[in-house]
Amino acid sequence: MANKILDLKNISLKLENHQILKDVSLELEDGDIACLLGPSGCGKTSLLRIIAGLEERSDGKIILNKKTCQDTGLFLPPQKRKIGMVFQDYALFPHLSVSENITFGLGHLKKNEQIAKLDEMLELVKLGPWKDNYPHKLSGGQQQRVALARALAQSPSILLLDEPFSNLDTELRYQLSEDVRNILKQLKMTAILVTHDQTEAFSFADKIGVMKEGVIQQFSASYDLYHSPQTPFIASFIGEGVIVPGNLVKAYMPSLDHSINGSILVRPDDITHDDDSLLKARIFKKIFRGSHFLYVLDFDNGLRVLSLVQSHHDHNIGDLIGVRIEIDHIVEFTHPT
Amino acid sequence: MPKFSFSKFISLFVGIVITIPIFIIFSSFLKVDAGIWSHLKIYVLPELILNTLKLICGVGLGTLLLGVPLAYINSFYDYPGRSFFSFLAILPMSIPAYIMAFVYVALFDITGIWSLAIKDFLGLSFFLPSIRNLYGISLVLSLCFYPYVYLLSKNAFEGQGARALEVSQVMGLSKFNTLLKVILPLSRPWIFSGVLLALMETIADFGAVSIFNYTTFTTAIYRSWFGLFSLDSAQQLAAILISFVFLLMIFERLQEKKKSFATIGRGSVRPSRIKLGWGKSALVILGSGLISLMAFIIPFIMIAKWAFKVMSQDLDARYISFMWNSIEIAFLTVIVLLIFSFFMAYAVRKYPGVIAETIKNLSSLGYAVPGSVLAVGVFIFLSTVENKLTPGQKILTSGLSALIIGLSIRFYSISLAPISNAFLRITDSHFHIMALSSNSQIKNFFKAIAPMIRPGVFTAALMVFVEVMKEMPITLMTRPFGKETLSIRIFEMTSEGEWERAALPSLFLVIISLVPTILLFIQSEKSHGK
Repeated sequence: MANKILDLKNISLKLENHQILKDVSLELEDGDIACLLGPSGCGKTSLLRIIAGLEERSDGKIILNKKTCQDTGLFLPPQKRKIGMVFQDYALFPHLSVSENITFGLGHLKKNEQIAKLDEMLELVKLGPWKDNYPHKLSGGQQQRVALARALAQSPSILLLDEPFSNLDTELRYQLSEDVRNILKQLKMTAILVTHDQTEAFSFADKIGVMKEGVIQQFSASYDLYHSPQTPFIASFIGEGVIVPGNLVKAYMPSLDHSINGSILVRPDDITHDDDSLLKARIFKKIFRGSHFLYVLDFDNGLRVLSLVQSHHDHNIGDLIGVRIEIDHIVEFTHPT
Repeated sequence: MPKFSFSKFISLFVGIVITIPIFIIFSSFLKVDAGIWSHLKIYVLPELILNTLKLICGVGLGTLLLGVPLAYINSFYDYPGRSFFSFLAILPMSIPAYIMAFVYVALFDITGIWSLAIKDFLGLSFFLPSIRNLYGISLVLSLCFYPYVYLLSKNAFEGQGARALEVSQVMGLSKFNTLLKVILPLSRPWIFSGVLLALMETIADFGAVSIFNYTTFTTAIYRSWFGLFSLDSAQQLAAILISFVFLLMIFERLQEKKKSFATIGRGSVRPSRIKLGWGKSALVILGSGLISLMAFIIPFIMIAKWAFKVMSQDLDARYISFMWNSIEIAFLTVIVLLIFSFFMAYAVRKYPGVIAETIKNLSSLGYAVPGSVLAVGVFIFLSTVENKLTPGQKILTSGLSALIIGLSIRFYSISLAPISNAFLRITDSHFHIMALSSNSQIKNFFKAIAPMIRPGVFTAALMVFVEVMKEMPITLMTRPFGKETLSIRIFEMTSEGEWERAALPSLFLVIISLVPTILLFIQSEKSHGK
């Protein structure tokens, strides 16, 4: 069995009568790359700060690499936890060169050990030629890699990344998140990324915890989040889709009926366009997506769904088109939404 | 439970030490001595209050008339030598009011150089009127303090006015109507702030009014303490004076609030300045040249001339000790202020909140309190402590401590502001990085915090150093016996009417005061360039 690196038990945080986190538990194994995903204010950054020891007011138990860092009456300060952290604003020291930034926290090592570590890190993030430059001379992506190298240089038992890519433009963001993932995999580093960007979460993490209002609603691989969301919130938060009233009558033949007390997730790719189909829907709105149109369709009974249709099927708003319902993965919520 | 922290403790301590002397002054309202009070009420107060009000009107009007037109022209129009003249316009800031005052008295008094020259030239048998009156002192103080109005108005015109000007021009208003109906009403909070700052300096002034023999609260406080040996009546007068100051301060704060409502449009559109023709340019250059001539060039040349004249006989070993004493006092104050400002700025940055902000604001009160008032407050505070701790021994009031504490309270906000601003460069994430690293606190300080706040610390040290060198009333009233500094030397020479001999220390003070003025100008030019 793999080694358990992080074990959070019932973490709660209440600030000024506001429940930021409620009984959050989470386990990570050696080398896991996890992501906390959620809208702003869901408590994801607070959880990260609690793990790092930067937030002292929480309850619950934290075991990091077999060392209890927090428990009732016990609080280990951040510098004793062996944690690496990368921040949204990079937090590079403007008066220190790339090398000096990377070795900033290595005061406890001997000079030659520091140099060895520095060379290893420069090699890892491919910043060797820039090692004597100051941060303001570097691009955003390079600055981010310095911040990563500085965090990794401390040989942390876990790396925490707080929205590290959100200051970068879109293209660079996904390129860099992939690069960082490769570096972490190469080092077999356990890591937690905090983000509100799904694409980033999917490309970066092995497992994703979706958070809302201080609770991790589901912690699983991205495929499962999309195809078997456990709550209506996750169903609507991850990917596109609508939750319609209805329930499962027979596999592969769901009925979409208002009178039934239950709900079913319908993704845009579950509704396919077929001119021959007897089931008709009226186009309410259309959004051009290059290879596809995203049609917003209304059925006669008032039900509204989304449909992803190849863009050579160019219909006008108000047209009645034939559709087919083909739901491969049925996601059913028995409680009413 | 709030965690104990050294920096929190220090800032609380600073807040208390700074506010105690101010409270001591105010407390005199509670224990009014009937005898002293009735004497003050009948013989002293009416004259003091009337004199102060007259002076406020005079200087208020003077700074408005000098500052606003200069700011208007330099903000909206272009003429040959504009940047040179706008630099000249702020130079009077580097001449302490008491130096400007004695230059004017020396030149234009009944027996002044200028009066005698005119008399000889025209062969007149009567004396020209003396300048030592309300109009003279108002003129001199206006020449000293109009840069406050000038700088703030210019700020308003260039920031707020830019968009307003474009809008009103598009709507077809003439330039004059734009000025009257749009620019001036919009900029009023800034202009008022400038005038109120100038007035606060005016009622705090001690040196200039004493040279003009114009009795105000500050000179009355000095005389009651050192002439009549009545610390009680000094305290009573100080309490009334400080009430005046706080009233002005409240007005200033109200303007501060209005500023936030008076913003037109977003972004920083800088309109191109309108080019003036030759005729108008000549007029403008003549006007602003005349002001600069009166407010800086003539005083500076006269001081230099007199200083060189007396240098051969006056510049001797004593001067080394005046200079050394000035530098010693300034240096000690700088050290004290840097240490305390560092801890307070750190506490405010690290533990932000209402309490930290309140302590910070309370501590900045010192700058508003006139030096003569602070001297009284600090002296009473220290002698009370001294009597409790070591009765009969003057361990606190005999040495430099009263002086350094007084100066530190007065100039605390000058050193705190740049250091606080420097701390803003250190982000929360920077602090987290430091906390997560295995470095010790001391190592983090030297490796990260100190280098990042260094520019702010440097500015603070420079500003405080210059202010202390120039300072007169606190130094005069709380220095140990026989401790002569450059500003004290000026006070003594001017008291005896020895203008030329007062010029030698003045020249030195003006030159070192030029340093922060020039830095300020460069900084404001830089921020405008962005």
